Amino acid sequence: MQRQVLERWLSIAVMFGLGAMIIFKWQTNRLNLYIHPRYTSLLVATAIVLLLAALGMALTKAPAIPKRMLALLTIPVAFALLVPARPLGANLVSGKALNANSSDNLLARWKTNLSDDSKSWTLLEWTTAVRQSDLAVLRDKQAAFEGFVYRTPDLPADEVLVGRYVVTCCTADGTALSLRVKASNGADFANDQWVRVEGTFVPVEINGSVVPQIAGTLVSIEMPSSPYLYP
Amino acid sequence: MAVVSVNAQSKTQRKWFLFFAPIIGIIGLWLASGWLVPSNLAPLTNKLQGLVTTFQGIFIEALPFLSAGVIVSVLIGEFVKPQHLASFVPQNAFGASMFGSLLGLLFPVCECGAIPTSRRLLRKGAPAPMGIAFALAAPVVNPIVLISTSIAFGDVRWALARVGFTIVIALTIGLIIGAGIKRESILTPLSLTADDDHDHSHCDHDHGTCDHTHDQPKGRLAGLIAHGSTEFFEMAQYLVIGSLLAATMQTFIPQSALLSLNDSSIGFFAPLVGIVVLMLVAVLLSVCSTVDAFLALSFLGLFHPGAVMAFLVFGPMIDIKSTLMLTSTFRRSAVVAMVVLAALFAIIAGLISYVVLV
Repeated sequence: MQRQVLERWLSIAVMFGLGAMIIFKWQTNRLNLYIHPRYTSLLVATAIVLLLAALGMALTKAPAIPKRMLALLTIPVAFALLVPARPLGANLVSGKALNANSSDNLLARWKTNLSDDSKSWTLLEWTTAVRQSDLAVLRDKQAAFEGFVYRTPDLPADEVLVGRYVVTCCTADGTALSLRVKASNGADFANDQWVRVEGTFVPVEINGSVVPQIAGTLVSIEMPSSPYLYP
Repeated sequence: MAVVSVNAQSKTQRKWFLFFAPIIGIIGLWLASGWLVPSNLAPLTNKLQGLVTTFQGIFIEALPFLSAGVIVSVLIGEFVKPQHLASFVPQNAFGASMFGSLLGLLFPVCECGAIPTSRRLLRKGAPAPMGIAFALAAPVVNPIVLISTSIAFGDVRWALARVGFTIVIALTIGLIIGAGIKRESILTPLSLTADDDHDHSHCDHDHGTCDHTHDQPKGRLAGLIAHGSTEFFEMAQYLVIGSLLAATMQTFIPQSALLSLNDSSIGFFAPLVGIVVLMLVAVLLSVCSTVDAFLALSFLGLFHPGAVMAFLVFGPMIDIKSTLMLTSTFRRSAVVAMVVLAALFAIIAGLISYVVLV
């Protein structure tokens, strides 16, 4: 009898935990590490339903849930409790980077019109501009955008890639964009550090091909409240 | 004798799995938490944290739709009587299958919601072709998806073509698998349990035993909560496994590897390659059908419209999590047949779209 009571309360705790997890992530502004902000209200409503269900289970002597199901549903709650919440970052770029050969059309679908003021461009707009126009036209345009630092092994010490993910629905569809930045203080920044790039667009020639690059400085910033870009 | 030894063997395997799964889980969790992890394992910690973010993305996004599906299912369980169902569902296979593939218009649920609803309808005595057609079609043939597809593509024809293909495919598969066959040979024991009396669906049906007794919940609301919470956990467990698999694959198999397959294809088979690649992407991403139109849009231009149509038609029917969920309702052989047939028909739908839409 004792065991049944324990299992019943464990079931209630897991149901409650799922609802509380969403509410907690929403309150600490972390829900947008996982999903497009347009689903936020839907999720809060769901969390309330789950919490009410947990309350209902507690009040009505609902039966215990089989152990295997409980164990599996503990996984998301355990993740929320034990694994630091991190946005997609340098760790997954290799898996989610935009494929150079097929990116043009993808970008064309995401964003088409660019404002004249290049200082207002995000990384998404910069990527679009670089793919759409002649690099010579963009030369010397002012840049001021945010992203996280990451590197590939072939980069010199004073150069980094500044990247950001574009998310359409949830992190499952995140695609990484990046621009090469040459900055005198580039070596000071660890991977995944969020930075603001300030500089000008100066394409460089590497191994016979012209590569888009920003020359300027990096300023360390806090992670933006919405770490992803939404097309 | 042979049967016994096979059973014994699978039982030992199961035992080993149950022993090792939690250990692997705990080690993985420890590595992902980054707590006292040696620095030479830091890259792995990074990868695992990315995996967790992707997992939570899929899981959290699907949760509202799963809950909605469970609520619909529980309401049907409470308010629809088997005799009601019998009075307006056509009893011939074609009519039942047709009815099933259109029923989603009344119950706006995605794949996470369609499968519990389908099982509930089957337990209420719905004909098998109807259950199959509903499980496959409802994720697309419903007002929410119709609207979101129209909005995403800015063109109602895409939405209509998507729904049209889905209805035809679900109808056909419902007939092929469900018509003229004993319910027992395609449905799991639980889907066969008549939903009249107090049910024991919360008992682990895989083991076939119910190792505890409990006070029967009193009152209508209490019954709703008991059934709802049980069904929620039962479906959500497949969501967890599916999201874990999808997130693991996404972390370790670069998406660009799949997409570059498309780039390299040339000649006569090019349309086919695009279609198959996007269908694999659909399975891998396991994104909910109510939101996948926005995602599909971003593939348009990258792939020909036929491939995008195959993605839109196949993804909601079959992906990692929905396939796992289907096994809660249909026997494994029936699920395999559904996957193979759906893939085949989605390819055909893609090729038709390729010819018509290019």
